[in-house]
Amino acid sequence: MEQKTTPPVIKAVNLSKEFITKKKESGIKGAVKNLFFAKNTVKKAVDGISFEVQRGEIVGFIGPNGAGKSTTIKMMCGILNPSGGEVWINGLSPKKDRQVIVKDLGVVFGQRSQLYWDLRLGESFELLRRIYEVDKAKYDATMEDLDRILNINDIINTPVRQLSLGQRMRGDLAAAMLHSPALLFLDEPTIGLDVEVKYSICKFIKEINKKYQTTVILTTHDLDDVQALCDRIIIINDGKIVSDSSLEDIIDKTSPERQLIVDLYTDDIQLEHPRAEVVKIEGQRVTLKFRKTEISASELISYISKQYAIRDLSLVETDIDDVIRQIYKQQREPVV
Amino acid sequence: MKTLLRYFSLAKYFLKINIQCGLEYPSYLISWLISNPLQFFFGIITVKVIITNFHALEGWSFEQIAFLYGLGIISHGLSVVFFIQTWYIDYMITDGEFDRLMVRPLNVFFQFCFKDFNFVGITDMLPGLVIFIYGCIASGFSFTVINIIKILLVIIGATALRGAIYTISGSLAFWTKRSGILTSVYLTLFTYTTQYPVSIFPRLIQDLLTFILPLAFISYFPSSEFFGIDTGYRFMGSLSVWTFGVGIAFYLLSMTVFKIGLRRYESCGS
Ligand SMILES: Nc1ncnc2c1ncn2[C@@H]1O[C@H](COP(=O)(O)OP(=O)(O)OP(=O)(O)O)[C@@H](O)[C@H]1O
Ligand SMILES: [Mg+2]
Repeated sequence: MEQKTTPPVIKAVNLSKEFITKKKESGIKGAVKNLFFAKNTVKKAVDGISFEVQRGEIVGFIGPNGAGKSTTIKMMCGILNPSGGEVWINGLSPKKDRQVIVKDLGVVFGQRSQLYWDLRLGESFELLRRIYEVDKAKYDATMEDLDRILNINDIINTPVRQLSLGQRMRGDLAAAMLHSPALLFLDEPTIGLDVEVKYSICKFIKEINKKYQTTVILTTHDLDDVQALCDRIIIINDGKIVSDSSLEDIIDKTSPERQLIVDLYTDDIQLEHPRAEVVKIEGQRVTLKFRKTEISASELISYISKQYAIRDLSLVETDIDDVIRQIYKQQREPVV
Repeated sequence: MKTLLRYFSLAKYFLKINIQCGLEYPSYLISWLISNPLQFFFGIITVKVIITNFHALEGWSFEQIAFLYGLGIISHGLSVVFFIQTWYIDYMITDGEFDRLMVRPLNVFFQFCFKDFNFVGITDMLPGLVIFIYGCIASGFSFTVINIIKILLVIIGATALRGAIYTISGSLAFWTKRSGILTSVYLTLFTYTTQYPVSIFPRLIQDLLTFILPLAFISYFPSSEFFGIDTGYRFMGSLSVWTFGVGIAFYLLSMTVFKIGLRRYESCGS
């Protein structure tokens, strides 16, 4: 039997965006100079990236400030036209068919609310319901769902301008989901939120992904979110994709060091292992450093327990922030 | 057809929520209700003083100027009701408002037009209406069906022309990122050219106001037609129809400029 392949939800090929900015010099002399010969500088915000996203994936875009994440998202929803390459959403080009694509698209920019500032949240929703032509019964069902996870009913009668950041973000997420889009772009949805709200937002994203097979693209600087949500991580740096894999793969590949801290019953410790390094010995406590790829934790523990009685132990996992920082850094100082 | 109906019902809804928003600040509304009319009544009193001291102004009697003055303010008021958002395009760009409009499955220009109904602008219009009606009665304007249709054509055309000029100058912000200063320049220009007979200006400026930036069509030409005053310019057909035509033509032009500006936005961003 022939296997039916579903086309990718997103397909980007060599997608690029250049911004032309005038280079300005400072000072009075500079200002006069700017007036007559302002030099154009070309900034490659996105520099030939290619990727595909399948239905139901949650993909995290991460990268340092100015890497080109927001620019990429804007090109995918048709706000910006690419200066090179192409992107297709369900086989359509956002440049030509923006109105068709956005019908089935939810967008949240964490930095800027999509809600109508002067309206009560509920009125904003009602307006969006009409814009997206969602019928009343379907709308009520969706709202009930959204309320369950995001507690929308608490804030539905508050004017948007009076909402706190976290409340507004909940409102924004609900607004983006009102028309049950199959694709969701979230640009820094958890920026500036407390742990509680952050948790409920992550839960929300997971639930809609599971329930409706919603494809989610999300950018964030919070790696905890990424760890909690994303099956796949695309790291962008300086407009280029430097890594595209799962978090475990990234950790395996960079093979960072883990630490094993063991408390023994003696302070006369003489320990050595060819594939682990003893970092320090303090009284009865010994700390070892090792790499996952070279030796497993259990192997190391059983090796130690053959020589000493172990009272207690703890394993310190790699800090993913460190891992990611290492990747960003490698890019800046390429290995010769 | 279906799209048209959809847009129409959305426009109605936008209107409704805008009025609702406006009503949330009643004190704001009341303060405008008082200060705006005052400004225009002072304006017409000034005209009265000038005329009683210097007699007729370029062949116009006070009653006729009241008609012209009122007519000009009516389209001003309407343009402030419908086109106020054009004054803030620069702000909308830096604020990323267009990003917001672009992720909705609706025409961007439509959303832009119906984003704001500044119905407080009616406070600009009311004194104009009072002065205009006074002018009609005092100058012996005859309310025939033809004349009423002509007045409506003039009001629509003049409002469209004002809106078009706001839209074009506002759209410059797509290139320059700034357009706020222009708005106040236009407002002053409109005041001087639509509330007094254009014939007080030198001929060269009259030419400019007729052929380049046709502000003379807003109230001067149509009023001159109603009173049979010679302006020194000859046009085929009714000047009221001309005002309507010029207004619509400029409005179509302004839509094009806006569209080109938006295309520029798509390549440069905010
Ligand atoms: N409208 C614009 N005009 C000129 N340059 C721009 C414009 N928008 C973005 N840039 C530049 O493009 C680069 C990428 O910006 P982008 O906003 O995509 O970064 P980002 O990855 O989202 O960063 P952050 O994590 O800070 O949000 C930056 O160097 C930025 O200065
Ligand atoms: Mg960004």
